Amino acid sequence: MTPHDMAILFPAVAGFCMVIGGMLLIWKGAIVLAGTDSSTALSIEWEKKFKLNTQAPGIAFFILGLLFSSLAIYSSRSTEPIYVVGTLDDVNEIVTVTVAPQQLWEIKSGSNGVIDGMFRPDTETINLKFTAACYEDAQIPHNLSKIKDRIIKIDNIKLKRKCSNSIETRPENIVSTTAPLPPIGSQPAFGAVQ
Amino acid sequence: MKNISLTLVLVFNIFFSNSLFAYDQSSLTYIQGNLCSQANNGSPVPGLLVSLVHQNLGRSVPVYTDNFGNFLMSNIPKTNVPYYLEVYWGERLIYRNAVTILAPVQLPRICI
Repeated sequence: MTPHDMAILFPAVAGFCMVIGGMLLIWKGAIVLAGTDSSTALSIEWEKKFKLNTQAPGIAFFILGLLFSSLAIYSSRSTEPIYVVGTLDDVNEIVTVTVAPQQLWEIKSGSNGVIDGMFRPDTETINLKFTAACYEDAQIPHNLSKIKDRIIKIDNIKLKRKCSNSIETRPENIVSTTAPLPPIGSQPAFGAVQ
Repeated sequence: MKNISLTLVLVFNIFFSNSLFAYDQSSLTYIQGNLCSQANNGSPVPGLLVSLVHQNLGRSVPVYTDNFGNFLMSNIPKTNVPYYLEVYWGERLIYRNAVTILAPVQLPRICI
């Protein structure tokens, strides 16, 4: 379990405990949902930005529990997507944009073959690689902390064409298969990303 | 009870042996090659999508030819049953041939 997982799990458990605990305390009669006089009112204030004032202390347990649970749900949301938009000039083929961290992390062993190292997976800077058949690929780095509205805008990128004629599909170049094969867009099952 | 235990041990062994196979580095190898175009006087073709596909193992992570037409695919399981090496121009299949991979493979130059 990573620290991030723990940071999500602990508020969720705390919130759940507060809600269940609040219900138990109400059942035992230790706290009441009914209003009390203003002298026994519960007041919670944080930097004048958040203020909770209730004359029914039982409610506060549930609200705090709900806050913790909401915080856990908010923290556990999946990473919001980043959009890549724009146009490429003078390209007549389908262009594939491959996104990868710009940096590779290396850990070297000692001369005795023992590996004992660490790396910090900083993915702030990514590399966009543009690939198209018959064109030289182009690579453009982007810093994720500097993009606005989670949109990477692509403009003025020119790919250099390397050959004048496209390769046509010829039956003699394609052997027939003995069994149906998974389509090209299917989930890869083996091999390493280059 | 004994039968259940034996069954559980058997299932565990099958599962675990498959996992070992999946990550056994000695059962993996690589294939590399170079692609060129007959229609362009044999010049190398960058940006072609190359993929290995196997009737049992499925499809490999795709790679693209570099600016010199070279490609390299690593972590390929060795197997007696041939793979099909496929080359795509964008999404259009332009080449497919069978290749058996039992050791590192350096393909001869393929001019399509």
